[in-house]
Amino acid sequence: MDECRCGRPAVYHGSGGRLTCGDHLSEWLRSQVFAELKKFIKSSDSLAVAASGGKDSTALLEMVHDWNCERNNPLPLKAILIDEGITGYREFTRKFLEKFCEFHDIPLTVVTFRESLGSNLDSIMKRRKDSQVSSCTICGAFRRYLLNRVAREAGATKLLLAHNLDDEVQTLLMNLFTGNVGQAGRKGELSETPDDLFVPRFKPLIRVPEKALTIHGLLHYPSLPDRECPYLRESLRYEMRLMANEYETLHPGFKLKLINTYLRDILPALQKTPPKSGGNLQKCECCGEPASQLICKTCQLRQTLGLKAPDA
Amino acid sequence: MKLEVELEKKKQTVELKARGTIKDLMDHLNLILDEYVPILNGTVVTELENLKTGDKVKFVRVWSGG
Repeated sequence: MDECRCGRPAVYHGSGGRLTCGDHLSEWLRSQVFAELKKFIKSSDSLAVAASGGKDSTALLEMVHDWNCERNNPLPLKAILIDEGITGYREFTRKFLEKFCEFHDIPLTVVTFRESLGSNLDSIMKRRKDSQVSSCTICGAFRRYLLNRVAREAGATKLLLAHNLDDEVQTLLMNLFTGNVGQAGRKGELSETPDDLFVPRFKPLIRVPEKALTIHGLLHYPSLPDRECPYLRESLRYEMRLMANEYETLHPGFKLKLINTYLRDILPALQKTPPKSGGNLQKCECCGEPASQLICKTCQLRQTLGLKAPDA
Repeated sequence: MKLEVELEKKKQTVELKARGTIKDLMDHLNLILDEYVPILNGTVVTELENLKTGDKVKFVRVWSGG
C-alpha cells in the first residue's frame, strides 16, 4: 500500500506528488485554514460562517470553531444556513448541520427562501419562463443577498464562505468565458467593498482542492450527506468543472497555479483599474442594497419571477 | 484480473490485464481523477494503489455543494 511520510496508508495524492494519510490530510487542512484566519481575522471581528451541511462548510465550520476555542478571547461565531427548499437535497444537509451545530454548541440561524421570498427554489424553477436564466443564477443571487443581510443584521464583521479551490477555478473561468471580467475583479480570499451594507467575505479554503475535502469528509463525518444539488448538471459551472478536472489530469497543479496567479497578479490589476464590464457600486433603487446596476440582480429576478421582496 | 466495481451505485465486474493500479482501472472506465475517490476493499486509497483479482473497488463521486 502507498504510504504517507509517517508510514501510514495514503488516502490522498496531491498534485505536487505528495502522498498523505488521513490524519496528515486533516492536519494540512487545519494549517491552511488557521493560516488564513491568522492573516485576515482581527481580534475585534465577529464571525459568521455560511454553512450548508455540505462537506466543505462543515469542515470549515469545525476548523474555525476549533481555532476560535484555542484563542484566549474567543470571537463571536455563528453559522448561517440559507435553506432554498430544494427537495431531496436540502432537507438532508440541513438536518446534518443542525445536529452538528448542536453538538459543537455553535449558534445557527436558518433563513428559508419560502419565508423570505414567498417561494422555495423548486417552485421558482417551475414558474421560470426564460430557460436562459439558470437555476444557479437565480439561487446564487438570492442566497448571496440573504447571506449578506443576515450576516449584517447579526452584527458579523466577516462572512466566511467555504468556497474551495475547484469552486474558485470554476468561477474564474465562468466570469472570463462570459465576458464578466468585472465580477472577476471582486473576488479573492477577502472581498471588501467600500459599502457599509456589505459584510466582507472571506474564503479560507480558497487553495484547498475539493477532492481533499471530500476525502476528509468521508473519513471524519460518517453521517455526512453525499447528495449533490439536483440542479447542478444544468449549470455552466458544471461544464467548467468537467473541463477543469480534465485539464488537471493532463497538467497536474494547473488549478492551484491558476488561482495563485489570479490572486497575486490578475486581481490586483483588476482592482486598480476596474474593467468597464463590472459596473460601479451603487444603491439598488428598489431595495437599497449594494448593486452594480440601478436595480440589483436580486430585485430584477424577483420582479421577473413574481416574488415578494426578500425579507430576512 | 477480475474486479468488482461499484460506480454511481451500480455494480459491475471488470476485467483488467494481470497487473494494474486504480489509475489503470479509472482509465479503463474513462473516469477523471479529480471526479472520484477510490475505496478499495472498504478503505480510501489513492489512484496509485495496486490491484489484484477479487478486489472490490467503489468509486465515490467528488460531490459539489459546500
